[in-house]
Amino acid sequence: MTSPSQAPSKRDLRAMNSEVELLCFAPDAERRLDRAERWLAAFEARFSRFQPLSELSRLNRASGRPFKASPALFALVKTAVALGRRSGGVFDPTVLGALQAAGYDRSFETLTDRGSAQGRGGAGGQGWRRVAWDQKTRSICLPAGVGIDLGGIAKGWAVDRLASMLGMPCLVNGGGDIRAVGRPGDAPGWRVGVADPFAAERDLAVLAVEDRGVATSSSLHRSWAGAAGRLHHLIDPRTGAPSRSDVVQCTAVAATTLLADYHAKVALLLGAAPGLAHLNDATGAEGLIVLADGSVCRSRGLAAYLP
Amino acid sequence: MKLRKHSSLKALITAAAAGLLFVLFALVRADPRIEAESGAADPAPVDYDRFFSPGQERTPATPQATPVERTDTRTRAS
Repeated sequence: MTSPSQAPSKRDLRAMNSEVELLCFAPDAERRLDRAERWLAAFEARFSRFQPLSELSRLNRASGRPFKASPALFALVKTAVALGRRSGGVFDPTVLGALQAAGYDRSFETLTDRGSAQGRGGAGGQGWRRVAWDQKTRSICLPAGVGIDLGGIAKGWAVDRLASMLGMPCLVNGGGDIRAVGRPGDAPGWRVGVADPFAAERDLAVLAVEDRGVATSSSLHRSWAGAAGRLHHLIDPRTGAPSRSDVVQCTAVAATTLLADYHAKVALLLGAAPGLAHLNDATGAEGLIVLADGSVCRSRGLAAYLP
Repeated sequence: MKLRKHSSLKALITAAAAGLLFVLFALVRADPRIEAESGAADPAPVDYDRFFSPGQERTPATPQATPVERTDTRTRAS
């Protein structure tokens, strides 16, 4: 049995181009944290699109022909396609071509401003409709010329998996993607600050979260200069270009971090009114939207997370 | 005879009282301080910000500093 009253064991790592923070209360915390750290290294080697030998890179090189995938990659691609269908194509894991055309063709840490990047003209979205798979052989067939970028949902999935290794209660924060399991001591939940996109040190709100995932998408982060002005990594599949949504940041709370990531991205791409409607209609998800003028909108049920 | 004497005394007292009131009213009207107050223009609206701290200039309103709430972690764009 864990003892939340004692101080948790903490480990800070660098992975997925992000700072990763693990908090564990289990009596065998060190063993669990070691295992989580090893798993994270293996995850990155398998799912990074910036590592040419990763399984994801090999899948993308195999577009147009069947590729036998590991169970994890198979499940993730299927989930990504299902989310594409659920969002009506607003979420699309096959915008890799557009992302690369916008200039995001290498790890963001090594990305310099790309004067030639146009910010449009990439291989269009909606490729998810043509992704085929065979459950029996666990093979995936991407349409020729189409690549997958699992991006945020792979990170969200990794955060969910890491949390499952650390026992209860625990907290995992992978570059802002959070999974809060249980609650620390008598607190109403883990207190999660929502960073203000216009003042990095300030929090817009503090959420009390228990057994939920939290994720934030922003067009102000991971941006670079291109020929047509400032570009960023959030591609709108409907245009094949970096989103021009009036929402600059969306934070979502959902049952899992993967789903929180999905909802945050979709709400941002949809724009203020439809994005808020998406959050209000989504079962088990709530969110907070920041508009370009700095104003903040909350979904109807977010108050349940405000202590 | 006695009745007539009473009536003229009554009239004299009334006239004296009225005269006294008239004199008092004239004195009040003649007082320059009272004249100054009654004829003064309405005072300008009071600027209470300056009224309570006349030595300070007004500064633009700044957002109220909210107390820093302790958090376990933060979510931000990644």
